[in-house]
Amino acid sequence: MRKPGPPAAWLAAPLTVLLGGFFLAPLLLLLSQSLRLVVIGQPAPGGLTLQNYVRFLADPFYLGTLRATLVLGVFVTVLAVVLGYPVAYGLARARHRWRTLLRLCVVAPLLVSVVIRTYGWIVLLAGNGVVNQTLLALRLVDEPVKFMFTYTGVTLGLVHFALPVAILSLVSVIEAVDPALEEAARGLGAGAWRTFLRITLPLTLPGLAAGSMLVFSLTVAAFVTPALMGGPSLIVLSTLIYQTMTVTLEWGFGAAVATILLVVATGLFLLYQRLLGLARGSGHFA
Amino acid sequence: MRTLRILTGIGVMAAILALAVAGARPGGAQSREIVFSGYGGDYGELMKKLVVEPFEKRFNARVVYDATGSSAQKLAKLRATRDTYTFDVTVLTGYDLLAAGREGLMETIGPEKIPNLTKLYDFAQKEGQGWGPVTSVDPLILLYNRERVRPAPDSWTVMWDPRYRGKVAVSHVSEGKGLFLLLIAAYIGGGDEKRIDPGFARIRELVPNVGAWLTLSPQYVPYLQREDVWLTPYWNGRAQLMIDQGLPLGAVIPKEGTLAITNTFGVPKSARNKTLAYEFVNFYLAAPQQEAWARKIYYTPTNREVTLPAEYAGRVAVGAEAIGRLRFPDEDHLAKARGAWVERWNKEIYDALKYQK
Repeated sequence: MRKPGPPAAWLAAPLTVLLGGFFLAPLLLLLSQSLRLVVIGQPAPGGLTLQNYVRFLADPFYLGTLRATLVLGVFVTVLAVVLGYPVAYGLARARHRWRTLLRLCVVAPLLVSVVIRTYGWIVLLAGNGVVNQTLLALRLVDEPVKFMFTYTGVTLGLVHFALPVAILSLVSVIEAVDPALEEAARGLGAGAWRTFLRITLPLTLPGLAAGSMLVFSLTVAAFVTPALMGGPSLIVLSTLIYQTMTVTLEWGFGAAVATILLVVATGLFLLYQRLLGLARGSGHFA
Repeated sequence: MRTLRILTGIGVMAAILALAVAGARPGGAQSREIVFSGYGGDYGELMKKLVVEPFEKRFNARVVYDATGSSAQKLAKLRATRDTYTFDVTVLTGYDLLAAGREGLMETIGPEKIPNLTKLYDFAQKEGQGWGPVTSVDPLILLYNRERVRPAPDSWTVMWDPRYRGKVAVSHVSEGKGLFLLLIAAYIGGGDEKRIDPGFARIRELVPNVGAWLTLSPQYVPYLQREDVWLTPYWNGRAQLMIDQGLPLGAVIPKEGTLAITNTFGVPKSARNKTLAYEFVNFYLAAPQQEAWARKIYYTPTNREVTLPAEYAGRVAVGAEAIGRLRFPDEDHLAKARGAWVERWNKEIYDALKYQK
């Protein structure tokens, strides 16, 4: 019964098995878990229910955490891309001699665990931290500024976490733009800004879009920084999922929250692609 | 056919990989090896030196020390794996052991399996309806900065004093210290485990004084070192270790009394080497191990025969009288109510912060 099939299909088999077993199956398990109720101290009851989703979607508090997560994600992404673009541009156009060293500087933070980096921010930003002591010594403020357990602190920590990723994804994109195009524009009388807005930016837009998606998904899923720096004024979905999964052990609810985050984030991606007109044929995230 | 064979090959390879990842080794029922799931940090180092290594020598056995996760995470692991082997002995807090026992995950342990059980105080034998003995007790104390908080505090209510605005650290209720603080706040306000409203009311009043919202114990260290935090509820054992390291801290059991957390050892039904597991629990409960452990980690031993030298007075609660003064929460109720309290804490503290600004 041997049908001569396309050999490419066989070549894809290992990856299909791997992704099916280690990516798709856990996702399906998560989905099935989200449709079950878990009652503490009792063997799991049977039957499927939408109660976990109702509990989240009918509660203004939880909808608020969803909104806070997404707003934080957008905010951090915009900051990381805006701050990262000039750096990436400099890296892409740097002379060969400096390039390796500069790249190492960008990658360096990625070599340190995010937990350690977050503790670094805590030492800097705490009430008696380095930043506040400097501000007080310079008489710029009368009493310590509250950075810790505020939106500001978490945003700082997350931008720091996301910047290297944003820069690295932008560098290769900017490098792909031929400097001759920019020179031509300058030669025809365009100023630096105009060259950037009319030539460089449009040509790097697709890469920028992909990079910002990456940063956004890292930010909405980030756990360590919000957990250590956020406090109760900023509860995001990742910390909520952690609580329900590992502390209160309401796995059904935790799985439902995780599923909601996944669906909303994917939905936003698709919308974003549509808006940027990148969706040609098959979407990357479908 | 060939495809099938390739796929089977991949399947087999994946299975081998999974087994390797899980650290599963064939054989076991007869082997002299158990996996003990404990905690990391100082606890782990001391446990290995004072209990695990002497046990290995005496019983000619091997104990694999697994230091991953909190008590709640160990319970989650037990739950997720149910009938599949994960470890032979585990440490759990009293309320987590109860939850695990109720879900049918734990072996019952009586004196026929661990003879040393009869040497423990009554409450430690009866704990968890026979799913495991209380191996040690750790009271929640008020930890304070000796130079900044004067006079030395003698009441929990000092935390609410406006002088200490922004200088108090509080754990989230999903973690033991926060949970016990909520209960203490309830007792002070005239409630208890079953009438928790006064507790939440007092915690809301505490919000202006809270400068650090933390969870795990190690997180506290930089805040205490840098004097960002002057007052906080903390576990006695860890507090005494920090005092030994020379930080200017004091630890006091306030006059209103305090709650103590119970540490228990349990053997899951899915354990592979139960005989040796019981031996291990029994060994740990014997007076020499209990005393060595208490001297180093400042936990209250539950073995009646253990006494500590005079210099431990005021640092570890030892003996029937001192233990009698500690309060133990209704763990059964905690296990059930905790989920609802976490949700309520999230919402109410968030609310209180909103109106504070």
